Amino acid sequence: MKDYAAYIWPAYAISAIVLGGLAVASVLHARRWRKRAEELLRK
Amino acid sequence: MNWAPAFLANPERFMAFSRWAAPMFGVIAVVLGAAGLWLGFHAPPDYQQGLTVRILFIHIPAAWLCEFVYACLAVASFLALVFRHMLADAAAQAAAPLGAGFTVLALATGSLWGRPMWGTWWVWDARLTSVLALLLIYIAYMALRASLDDEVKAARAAAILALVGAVNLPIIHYSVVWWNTLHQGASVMSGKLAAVYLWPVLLMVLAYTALFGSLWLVRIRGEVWRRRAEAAALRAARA
Repeated sequence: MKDYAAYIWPAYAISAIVLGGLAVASVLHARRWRKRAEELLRK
Repeated sequence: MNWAPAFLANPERFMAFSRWAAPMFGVIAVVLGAAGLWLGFHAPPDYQQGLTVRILFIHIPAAWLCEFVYACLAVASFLALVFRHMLADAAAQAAAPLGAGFTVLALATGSLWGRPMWGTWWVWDARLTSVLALLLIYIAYMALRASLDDEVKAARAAAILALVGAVNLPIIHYSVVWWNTLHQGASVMSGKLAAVYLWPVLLMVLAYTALFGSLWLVRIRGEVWRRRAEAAALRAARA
């Protein structure tokens, strides 16, 4: 692992950051608009 | 067999389905991903690539997903264009950022594998260039949708762009056959991959696909809520 660690770990780190970011952004987007729609529909 | 179009045609049924399907796909993704990573990190070094073979366990799924997501985007765009259905358009819009994310991962992890194996971060060969073109198409799709105030016009223009951009999919897929590329030809489906590497790859491909399924449903739900909120705000403003 030692020889190629400088390539392997960044590849896994970038994947975790991008996939985690997509997951968080998707859930927050859905939650925000659900809340907003429910507020407006209640009026 | 007409249950799938029924989901597309009925937003209420889609919302009820996606409410349990999205978390279910998420759990499947986590379980398969954990199994794939465990097998991947216990796989022996490849006789040529050494331990950089571990990068392929995350590169191949990202590369598969960047094409698969675009195919989903193109089919949804076609349905939105022909049937003018709100859910199909929401599905196309929701797929774009996910596809762009997977394309960035395919390019980044490929580059991190290429540097020690090929001796370079990047070459302008047909496979890499056509995948870069795919990323630019995703970006153009999102930019086009964001640039027009009229959402109906934006959706139609973006759908046409998505269908034109679908020409790139067979180019990506067959680039390693049609041209002499530094990127190797198909290895997963060729049967040449040893089982010790094939299983982690397959599990990770399934995990990434399940993750996409989960996030796609979540984003479509978000789009449906956004459109409901905007319609309610418009009604309130007119009242």
